[in-house]
Amino acid sequence: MAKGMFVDTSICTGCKACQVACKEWNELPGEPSHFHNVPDRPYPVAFNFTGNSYDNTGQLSATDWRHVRFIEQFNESRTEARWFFSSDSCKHCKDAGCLNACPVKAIVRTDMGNVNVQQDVCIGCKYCIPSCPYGVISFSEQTGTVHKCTLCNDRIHNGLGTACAKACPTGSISFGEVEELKKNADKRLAQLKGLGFLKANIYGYSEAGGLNVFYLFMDDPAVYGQPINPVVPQRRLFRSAAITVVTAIAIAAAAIMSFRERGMQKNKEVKP
Amino acid sequence: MSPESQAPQWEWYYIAMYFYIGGISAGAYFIGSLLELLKKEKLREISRTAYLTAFPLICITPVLLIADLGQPMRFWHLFFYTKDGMPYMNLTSPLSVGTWALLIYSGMSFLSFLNALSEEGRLTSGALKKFHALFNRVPHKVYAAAGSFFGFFVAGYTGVLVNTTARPLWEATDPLFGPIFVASAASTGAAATALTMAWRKSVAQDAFAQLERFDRMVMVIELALIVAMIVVAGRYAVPLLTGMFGVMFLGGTVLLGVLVPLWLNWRRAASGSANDGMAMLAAVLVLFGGLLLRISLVQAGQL
Amino acid sequence: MPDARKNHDTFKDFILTEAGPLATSYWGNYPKFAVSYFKAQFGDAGTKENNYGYDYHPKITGDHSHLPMFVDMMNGKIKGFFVMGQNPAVGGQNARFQRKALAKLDWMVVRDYFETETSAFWRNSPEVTEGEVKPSDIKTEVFFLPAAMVSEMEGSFTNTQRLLQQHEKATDPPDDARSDSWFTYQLGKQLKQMYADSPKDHDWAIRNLFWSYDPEPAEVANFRIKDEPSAYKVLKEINGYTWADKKPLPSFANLKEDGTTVCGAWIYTGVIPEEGVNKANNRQGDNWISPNWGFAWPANRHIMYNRASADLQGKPWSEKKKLIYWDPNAESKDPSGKTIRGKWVSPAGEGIDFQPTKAPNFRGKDNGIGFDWLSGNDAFIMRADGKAWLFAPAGLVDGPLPTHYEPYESPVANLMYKQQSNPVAKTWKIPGNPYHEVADPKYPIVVSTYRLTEHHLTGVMTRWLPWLAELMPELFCEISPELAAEKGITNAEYMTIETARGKVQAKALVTRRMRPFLINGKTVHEIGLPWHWGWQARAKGDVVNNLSALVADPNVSIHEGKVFTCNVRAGKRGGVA
Repeated sequence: MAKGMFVDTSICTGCKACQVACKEWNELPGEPSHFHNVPDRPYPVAFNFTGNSYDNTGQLSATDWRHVRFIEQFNESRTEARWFFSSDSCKHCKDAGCLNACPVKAIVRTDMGNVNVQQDVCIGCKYCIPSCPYGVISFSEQTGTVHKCTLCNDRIHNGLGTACAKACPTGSISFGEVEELKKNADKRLAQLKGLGFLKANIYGYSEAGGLNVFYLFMDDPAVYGQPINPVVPQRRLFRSAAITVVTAIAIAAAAIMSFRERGMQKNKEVKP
Repeated sequence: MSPESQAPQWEWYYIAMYFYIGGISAGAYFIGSLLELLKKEKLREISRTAYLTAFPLICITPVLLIADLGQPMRFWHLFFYTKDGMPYMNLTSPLSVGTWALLIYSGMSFLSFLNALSEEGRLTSGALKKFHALFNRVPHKVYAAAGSFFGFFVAGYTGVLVNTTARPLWEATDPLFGPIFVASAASTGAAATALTMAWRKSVAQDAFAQLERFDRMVMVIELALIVAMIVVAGRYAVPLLTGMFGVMFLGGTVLLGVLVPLWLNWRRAASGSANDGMAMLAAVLVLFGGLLLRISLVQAGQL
Repeated sequence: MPDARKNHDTFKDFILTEAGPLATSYWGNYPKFAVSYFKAQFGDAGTKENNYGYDYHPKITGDHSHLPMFVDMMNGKIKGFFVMGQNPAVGGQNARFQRKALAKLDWMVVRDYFETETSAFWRNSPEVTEGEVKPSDIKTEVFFLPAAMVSEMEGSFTNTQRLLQQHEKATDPPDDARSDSWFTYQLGKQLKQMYADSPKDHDWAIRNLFWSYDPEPAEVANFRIKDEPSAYKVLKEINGYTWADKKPLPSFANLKEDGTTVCGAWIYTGVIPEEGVNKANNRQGDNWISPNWGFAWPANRHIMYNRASADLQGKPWSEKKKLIYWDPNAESKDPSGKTIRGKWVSPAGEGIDFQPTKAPNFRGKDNGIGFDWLSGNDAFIMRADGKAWLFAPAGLVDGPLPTHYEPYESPVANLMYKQQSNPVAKTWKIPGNPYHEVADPKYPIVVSTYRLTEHHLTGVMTRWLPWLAELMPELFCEISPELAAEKGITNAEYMTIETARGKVQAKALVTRRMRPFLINGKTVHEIGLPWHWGWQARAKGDVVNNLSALVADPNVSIHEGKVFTCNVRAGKRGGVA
């Protein structure tokens, strides 16, 4: 049975413990693009202030496998005041664009349903990167390969849960069997709707074939930077190939027409 | 649309350049094989020149592709899965299928190259003659048919590859990159072949005119496909129509690479004049436009 | 603590002043605690004749809280300074004042894991880098010693629930890094050696200080640092033991005033009830009081004054939440061995915070000393009258009832109460510490200082770590769109905040979470400044405390730094955007 995570953004406090726990467990360095060298210091200094609420991480990268988003919804009179938090990561899609795109079988799915990059197989062609509708998987200049959340592959295969779920102080991130998590999620959604939060929705039951890491959002997924109705790119492959073949046939026809005797004669006639 | 998708950060001088050079090679090879199938003696020279053009170009391409890799020394993983040593291909990945096709195509274009040299009496090396003997074992028609298939494949798969992603520009223009790349490959392949013929001081004027005619038809197809692409993409086409890439695409490809050569070409056909200079200019512009097409489409999608 | 400001001239005075001649409540036992404490300090050298060394023990001479201390430092009264796990160059109010005060010291020892702003002030503080002060003009000799981290130290930790829990060392400190215990122990040993032959009276205390905490080999078998002082021996001294045979005391009831017992802090007695048993190690939790988890001082009473959980007849107020109750039939033995009936029992195993056999209907004796004065219903045994106090009529300099005071610096008059701000707040009208007037037009904006999740205090434990530095890389100022528009301040670009004490630049974070207030018909703006940054480390920024002033609470001298007034403008401090 597939393992995954349920992220209940309604109880996330934006503490970023998940981001730090992930870095700690996976021994990831600070994101290189966030640091630069300054003349009077022997260590690199961070300069990645974005001005985007409390989110200076910006996006997932080869060293940022978790990214907490901060969405402020305040109107001018301040009568509407909401601050949404959501911890983004790899969704471990049941139909994964990255896995489908990999030409060397570096990206594989384990027996627990999570999607991993085999670091010793990856050649760094970077094709998986644009193949992910969520912009998760990223390239590292340091290793020449791609990286993303592994669903703590080593932990989950040794009886533990994911590091982020363990560190989360509110239980917003929970790890377990996807089918069990869905039951909890449905209950929570019903409870929220009952309390009047009518915009609450689950994201990940049907998106892109189903996501093993799925979310409860309090507003439209677009508010949380997630694509609505994402299509796993490879689903379009057949159509694309077909139209290309049709074009090739048209060009072949053009060739045949161009290189017929009649054409030659016509040219001969025209010559002075 | 996926506003969150990330760009693969492919350098234009590796990947877009590969699309371009591979396209010329495959386009030329496609033409060469098709003509061989038509079995007209008078077309043999075009066919041969196409083969002589195709192979050297494809030799450059592995260098470009391998150089772009994050782990260049591991390029062989494209053919063998490291964990079990078995040959591997991923049918859902245009990159995987295309790499195998490129491999086969390279082999085929090598043998066609040898055959062309042989026909011109220039195949002297003993070892190479042995290779050529291999080539003669297969009926040439079969080979030519297979050749035209692989030529088209290599020409078009790169467009399919780019469209089969979630980048807004690339997803929105799906499924037109493949067709446009095939058309551009055919157009640039024809132009390269014509230039090679001129450089070798070929005297087959008729063949030349036919190439031009072919190129004219292909350019019209290409233009139609480009218009369709912009219409289909709607607002997601903006990165392609504005800024640096807008200049490259609209000015470089559409205007200088298609419309102007088309006009020059049509004028030459209409007046029947033998202004080789203008013909050469048209071919050069086509090649120029083809390069800018690849660069703008591939790089604008990574903005 | 002996205090020169009180009537503590002699040991007798000390006891009388603190405990009173007819001390009621548990303070009647004060002499036993005091003697045991001084005996712990001086061991054999402390005798009845010399009042157990009382005369040589240091006395408090004034308000030695942080702010007054720094004022003294600025006035040249302080020669040397130990800074262990503190960073006043960033965390101190009116930080520029405090950094200038540091320059007046003869020497300073800083112990920390990274080169904190305090340890580096002499070479790269803003005053130095911007040319205001030259390092060659700073005479302070700074010694920086690497410190072990929390996870590299063994010992017990007491939290605000009065709970002692043993903290096990997870790993050895690297290289020369050492724990605070090791440093203090070595320092004491060296000082004792230096003063061993001094005949002077004021060196008597150091010469005779009982200072023997070398570890047993078994204790440091797994440690890299073999001379790490024994945390057990230190805790045992705090717990108390009989001096002659060194046997630990199980209860403060065993403390004597004849010099046969030692005890560093009587409230801790019982944590080591017998040799080798450290209750701070206990880890048996239940879902209720968990008396077998750690040790709560005093005497493992997790809920203080728990007599009050039972009514006047000794029956629990709430059956569901019963803590202790009076069982008239339960038996116990009195000191002479006689069986007595009736005692307080706790089914949860909680320590009884009352005389175990004092019945609820016991009437206090009118001339009773200590406990005898308190009745069976006087649960609050540390108070002279045994009662709970809703407010303190003595001991605090302000009060007794709360009211609304404006902070010392405010843009508005106090609309609720005729007294603008606390009339006894401690202020220092001295050079270098200018205050703003109430509703000062030059500084009309409220600045509120606060903290973030990602950083801790002055950032010594967070701003040096890449994982945390990249979460909150630099100082930012939260500002409403209304104020930002008024001042031409742009999101994610520099702005400058200014007070009479100093200026800082911060990146602007324009957000509607900040809002203007309408107070008494006037718009009052507020900005928010998280104050974690200093000029060192991987996440650096200006020091917010450059803006605050020295203002302290009248009772315990806690600084008032939460809110004060300021002004803001767009652009960098130096004027360039």
